[in-house]
Amino acid sequence: MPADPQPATSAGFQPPSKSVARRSIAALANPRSIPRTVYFVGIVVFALTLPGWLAVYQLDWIIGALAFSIAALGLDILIGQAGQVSLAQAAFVGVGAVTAIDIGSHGLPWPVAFLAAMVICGVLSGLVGIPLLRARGLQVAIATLVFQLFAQTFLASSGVVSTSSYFNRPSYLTADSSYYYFSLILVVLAVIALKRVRITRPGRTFLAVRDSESRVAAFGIRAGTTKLLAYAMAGAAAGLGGAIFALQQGSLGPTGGPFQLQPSLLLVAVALIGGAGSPTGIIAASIVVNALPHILPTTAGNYTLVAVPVLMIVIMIFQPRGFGGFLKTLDTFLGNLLAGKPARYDPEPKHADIETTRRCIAGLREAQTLREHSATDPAPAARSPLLFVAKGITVRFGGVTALDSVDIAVERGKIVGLIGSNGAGKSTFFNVVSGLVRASGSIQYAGVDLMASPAFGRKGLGVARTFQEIGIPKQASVLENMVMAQSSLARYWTLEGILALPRTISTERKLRRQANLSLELFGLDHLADIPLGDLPHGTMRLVEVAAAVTTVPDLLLLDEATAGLTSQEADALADRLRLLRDEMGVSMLVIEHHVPFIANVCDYCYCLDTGKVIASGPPAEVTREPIVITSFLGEQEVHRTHRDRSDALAPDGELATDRTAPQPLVATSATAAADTRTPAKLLEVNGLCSGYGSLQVLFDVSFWIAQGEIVLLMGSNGAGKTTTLRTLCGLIKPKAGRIVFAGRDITGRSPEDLVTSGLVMVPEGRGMLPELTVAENLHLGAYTSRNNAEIKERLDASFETFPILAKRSKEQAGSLSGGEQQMLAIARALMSNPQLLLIDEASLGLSPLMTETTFEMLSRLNTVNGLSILVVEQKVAALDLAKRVYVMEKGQISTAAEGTGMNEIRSFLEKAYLGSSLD
Amino acid sequence: MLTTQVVTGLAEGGAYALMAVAIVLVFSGTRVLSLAIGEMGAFGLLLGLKWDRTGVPLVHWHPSANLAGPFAMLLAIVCGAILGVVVERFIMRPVEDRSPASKLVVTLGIALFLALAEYQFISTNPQPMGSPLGASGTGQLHLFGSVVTWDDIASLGLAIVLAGSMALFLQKTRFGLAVRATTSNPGVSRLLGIRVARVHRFTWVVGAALSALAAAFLSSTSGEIYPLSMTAALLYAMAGAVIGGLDSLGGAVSGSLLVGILQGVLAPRFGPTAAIGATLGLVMLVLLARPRGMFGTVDAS
Repeated sequence: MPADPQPATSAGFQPPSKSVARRSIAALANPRSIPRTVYFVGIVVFALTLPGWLAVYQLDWIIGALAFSIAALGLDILIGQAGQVSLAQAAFVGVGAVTAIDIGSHGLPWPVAFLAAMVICGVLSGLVGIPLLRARGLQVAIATLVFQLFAQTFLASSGVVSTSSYFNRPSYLTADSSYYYFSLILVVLAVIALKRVRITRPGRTFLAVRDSESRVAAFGIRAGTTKLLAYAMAGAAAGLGGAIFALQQGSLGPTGGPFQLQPSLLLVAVALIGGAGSPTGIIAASIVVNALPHILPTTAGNYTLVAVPVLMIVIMIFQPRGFGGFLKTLDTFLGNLLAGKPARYDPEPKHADIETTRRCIAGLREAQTLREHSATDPAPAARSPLLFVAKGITVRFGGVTALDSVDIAVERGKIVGLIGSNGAGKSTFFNVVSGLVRASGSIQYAGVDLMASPAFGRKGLGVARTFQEIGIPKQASVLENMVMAQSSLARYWTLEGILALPRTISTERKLRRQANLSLELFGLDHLADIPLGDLPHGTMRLVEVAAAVTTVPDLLLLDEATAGLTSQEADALADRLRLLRDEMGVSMLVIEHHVPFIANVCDYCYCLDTGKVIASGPPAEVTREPIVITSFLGEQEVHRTHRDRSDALAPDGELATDRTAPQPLVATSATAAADTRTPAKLLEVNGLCSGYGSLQVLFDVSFWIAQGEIVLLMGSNGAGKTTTLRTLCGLIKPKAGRIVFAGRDITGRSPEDLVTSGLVMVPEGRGMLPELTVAENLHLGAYTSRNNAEIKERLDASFETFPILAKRSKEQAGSLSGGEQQMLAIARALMSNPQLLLIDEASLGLSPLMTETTFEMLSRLNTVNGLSILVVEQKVAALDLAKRVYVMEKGQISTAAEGTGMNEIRSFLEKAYLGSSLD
Repeated sequence: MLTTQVVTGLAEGGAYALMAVAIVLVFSGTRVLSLAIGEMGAFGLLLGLKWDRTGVPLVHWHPSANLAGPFAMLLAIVCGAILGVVVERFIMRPVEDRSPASKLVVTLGIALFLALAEYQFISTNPQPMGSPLGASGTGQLHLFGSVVTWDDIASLGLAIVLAGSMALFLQKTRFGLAVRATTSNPGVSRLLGIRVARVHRFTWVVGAALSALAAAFLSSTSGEIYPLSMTAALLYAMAGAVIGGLDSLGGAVSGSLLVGILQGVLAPRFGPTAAIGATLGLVMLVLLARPRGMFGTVDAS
């Protein structure tokens, strides 16, 4: 939300202002830490003096643990970063050891043997990765386990490991202490390499692939190659560990050796107990697991042996990030002691002023020269005015035709809207353009046949996109995501990146500069270091848009960029998109349900319905086409849109009458019905404080809902609406406050109990169980009832109310369109015969027509069945539905209004769609 | 010759299949790949055999009946069920929100802990294990020219019957529907009033009990059981589960039988390396050609 004050309206509704105490709500601390050099000196002194304290046999175990920790560091790349749970790491340690001994015993110097072990294990691990490319999640764990079993059987079978071969240490490494220092140096080098991997292209692409393999092509990343690279790196690390072990031992016994099943499983344990991304933690874990049981006195050693499995369980229960997480917590604690409480940040986007905006855009323009695509772009004179022409695009999924010979064109420097009902095929079209879905037809893009280009190559051609659900990794920080999105521009070899050669340094600096400019442009620069997943949903979407803009694409595809944004936030986004178009000539294709946004931003517009283009033209014309109105907009939205636009565009006599159109019937009937009842309080919330872990989101929230009312909860992104609902329905236990429902104190009760007592929630995103059928979903709605006759009765009733559900009752819920899913979600909630229905973002992702249908349905349930409903909504139309509205701001209820008081909120929100808020 | 080996393989595959059903049940109920399930089944078996050896009247009331096996199996099932409750409540529930890899490590911790407890309190030596069916279990009969025991037939039959009835239970009953809902989305299931913890407890209890059954037959075939031997056997069952499809009960049974046959046919001729190599090849082939397993369900987009 822009920080500058909006034009103030009259007293009933206060727009966001400084009068509301700025609480530290939804504000995470930027963690403090104590200076790195302190740790560094401590560790160095400890490591260097260690041989002085230990007996030779003890030092031997430590060396073994160091070798083991290098293999575990490699596994951290594979598991912690790329998300591939491999249980075969010890097999590669074994192969590395065998290779090193074989080569070393022929008299070659140790560097040759070590390098050969790393290369052979890297290649072998990569090869094993190939058949695993399509495997998902824990299938990888099992398949690698079988490989481990095979490898150890093979290595142990006679003739493979020659017990007579010896790999002798050179004279300068004969002493155990010197071999200890030698291994220590290799560990330090491995840690540095790991760190370099993390902060250069491979590390970022690993995270992206782990987060969503099917989408990374849209960022110019090849998922397969990336995964194989991770396998190869892990293999090379295992090879190095094996080589260190081999040179230490000199030879391998036929059955002993480091390649057994148990070490393999322990390696995974070490990598996780140590903590993803924490080399210190991993090395410490390796010493605890491998060395401590053997170097401590016998009694203590035995306890340590028992302690290892206990540690695996206890650490994972209390500190999911392992030793590393524990060290981090300690570090933050000490840092806070030394430097005082850290600064907090505001999770909302800032408002960039016009000068900043122009400076950012000027800076970003340079990026256009970075892209290889400019070479394929014909000279300006030869340019066709059309940047993008898709012809006859057809997609079939099984028997369903998702797109049916769709023709869509985008002119250079124009923003083209793509509207249409849910399930019309809009997102499928985007997937075709970015190459994630196969289609027939042709796409000409800037003189290139786009269909002939592989999916990962299209980003390099200047096609960038966002996804309907967040498509970038949530565990990475905002800045990392911005740099990740430029992977197609990070053109250096992985080895160059590890060695920090000049080309890498300069490229990385350039990418970071671009990322920062784009963040500043969207007012997100203060959030650069925050993990994306910690931000409110709408802000995440904005980060994704900013990430797509970083590479300054020629064609930007935005999939419902405004969903979850308030009207002011959507307006600010519209400003920036127009600037990108006007100043930099970025062409865009935007999927949108928010009609004022289309009207405000788009130069041209296509409307899709069941896979076909049913209308196209300037937005003002398209939104008036009868076929668009019946399939997408609905009558109410037409009123509203044209009422809004009549101020912005040329006034139109015919529209003037629309302004005074009577309020829709549903709203009056709802209000009237509610008025006749005695307002007994059904739900009363007092002084509610709630949040996630140490993060407090709600501060002293109090409100109530009367029996038979529809109450609306509005507010900006991250204001705490969803948290309020999640606390009410028992998913989050409140920190303080009292919730009374139907005369009973329900504070802290579980959702399972609350369903039984009549309080049911429809979660954001509709909460489908996609693998189950529609009928099964409905049956589960009545799970708490054991009366079969009653269940049957309610099932019949809901089939009567929602005939589409009866028709599709045997189909999987996941195959329904968004609107049908919303119907199913409501019908399912009603199956338990609730008294109060909580609905989070009832219209999120629904077309205006579906939104209207949903609202009508809620209104009918209210008037006919007397159901009380609490709706969280962003749309102005919801105001017609409710009797009362609460507005949340920064975790508090800032305004409550009912009856005529709501008109001021309405007029404020409607105005917000009109003008530009930029200057 | 080949028939004999196939039949032997099927017999061993039957016990793997029981174990695979346990893995698949826990996996589809909780999304945890449990490395502990084998040891959870074996614990009671080892306890029972030790009990038998130290001489308890109940077991020796009729020496000729040779009730050590049945007694150990029953105790293993009871112990498995108890361990299932404890593990779900005190270990798996607190780590519910962790990554799959973390949960895998937690189950490894449980397996190692149980193994250490077995070493410490029961025995470090392999325990001889008789037939879980008592004296009649080792009775032989001739089938297609090869010799099979009643044990073999029982384990294969149990695997098929139990997998079938479990699948039916999941499809047709109210609680089965709740299990499938939990598999699909635990958070949403809670909002519908399903007690997700109860579903998880159910899968752990039944899974561990099935694993005890599998342990009894596997150790009867090999004649002995020792700490971590069932965890090693678990790997073959896991291979079978991944071949058949990690979320399909029928797939787990057929995959495990296939693994059993491969071992039975190849190991005597070409040695253990070739047999396990062929299993690896089959796993890789299935993952390449049908990543969800031969019978795995295709989830909705």
